[in-house]
Amino acid sequence: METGLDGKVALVTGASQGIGRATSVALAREGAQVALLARSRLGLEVTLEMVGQSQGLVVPCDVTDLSAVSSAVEVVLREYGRLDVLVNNAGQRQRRARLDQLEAREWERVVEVNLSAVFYVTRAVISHLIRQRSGSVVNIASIAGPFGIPRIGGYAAAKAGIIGVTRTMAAEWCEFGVRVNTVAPGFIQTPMNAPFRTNPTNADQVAAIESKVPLGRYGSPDEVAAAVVFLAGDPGSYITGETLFVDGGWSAV
Amino acid sequence: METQLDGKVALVTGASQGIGRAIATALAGEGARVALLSRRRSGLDETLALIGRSNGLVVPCDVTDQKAVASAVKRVVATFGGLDVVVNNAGQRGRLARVEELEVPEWERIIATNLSSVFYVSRAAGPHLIKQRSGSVVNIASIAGPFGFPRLAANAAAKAGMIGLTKTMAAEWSEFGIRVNAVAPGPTATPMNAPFRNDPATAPQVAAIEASVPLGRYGLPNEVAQAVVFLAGATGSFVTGHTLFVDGGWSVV
Repeated sequence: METGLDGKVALVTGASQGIGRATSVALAREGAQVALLARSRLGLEVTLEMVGQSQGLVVPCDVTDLSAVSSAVEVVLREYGRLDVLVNNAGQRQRRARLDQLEAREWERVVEVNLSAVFYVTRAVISHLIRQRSGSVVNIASIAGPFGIPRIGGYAAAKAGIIGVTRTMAAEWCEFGVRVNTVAPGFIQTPMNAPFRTNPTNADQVAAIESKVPLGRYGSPDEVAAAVVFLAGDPGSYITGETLFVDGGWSAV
Repeated sequence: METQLDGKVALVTGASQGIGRAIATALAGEGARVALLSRRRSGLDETLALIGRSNGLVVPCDVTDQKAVASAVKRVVATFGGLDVVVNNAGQRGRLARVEELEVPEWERIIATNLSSVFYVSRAAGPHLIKQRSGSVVNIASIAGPFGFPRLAANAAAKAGMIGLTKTMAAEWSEFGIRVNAVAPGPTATPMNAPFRNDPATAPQVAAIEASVPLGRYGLPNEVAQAVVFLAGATGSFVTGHTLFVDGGWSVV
């Protein structure tokens, strides 16, 4: 499928591992230059190896730090002179706790990392997309957003917020030819949940999750990345404000 | 993006024009062999000429005729030696009428054409997909399904029914490795609505439709086809039971 991403410039947050790394690799494979953002320089260097030195740019950045975000975007624009695709992927799980046992500070942190960071980064790049009168933003939410999953209330609220802010952004920027969409992954094999998946004491819970997914398995980061590439590129040219579930059918049953 | 549709066999209903023709062309562009179903042989021959004689098979068929559907599917499997992708696209808008003015035969005809045909074709194709333990079905619904459109009751009911049927098929066939998804196009420039779009008398209505779409225009058949290819191919390998809106943001605002 021709994505038209060859020669485009993309910025991916949370690019140091998992879904962000897979997305960076997938965008680079379509010929895009990819700016890799995350706090962990070490992880970003590994991703850079995978996308190829000449196709990536490591920009260590804490996406919850407003001034760090604007200087990171400046670095990207100075390097490439343009920006076409933004993937807001950075995120963190919260400590598993019922809402009555979740500390306010924990709530604030998880909402900041998963939701406010999307606003900060998008706000920093949008004037360039508007000036250029084209661009595509893809935000990574989660099935935890629109559905109730116990003991991750802060994370769920943030991910539901991403879906809401995506729709508002789509409505606000459509007149400038900027599209904004969400991908909502289901259960995906990532380093973030590896401790949970591989701990023998959780085997029953892992099996229960797999059996609740119609396709009977965790997804791979590459499967999420393919949806991002589809929405970011020309194949998604008439899609905006949409939430694409990559969840093996979890939300359909 | 690698869809891995090369060498696969696809069946597209309503392939004689518009969205069906664009889907057949896009699938053939990915290397699939495409069986073209529709009542209109002349339209099918034109589609065949577009995709190349060696990539296609013309199978005239009324998809509301169960028997004709069963023998058409049999013929496709016999000719190509298998079946991997089914696209249920055949449909008609129906005569515009409020519910109290809608004739019962007209209701029945639209339900048969737009909804029951999906059941007939999927029912005939299902055993082949189940036997090979892989396959992908994509049903073409409409924003008229989940939303209220005055004077389109039968079409809306059929398209909403198709989304329900899609989720059930996804749940039933997931254990066989078969994915089932829907694409819900918004206003799309097709031969079916060309008279309406091009009639100066309806120009204000057309302008109102365009203004109701955040992206400000009708979509193109190929933009729907791209979503079908994404879902049908390996790119959608962890997506099932989903309804993907290709509507320029219409359903979001």
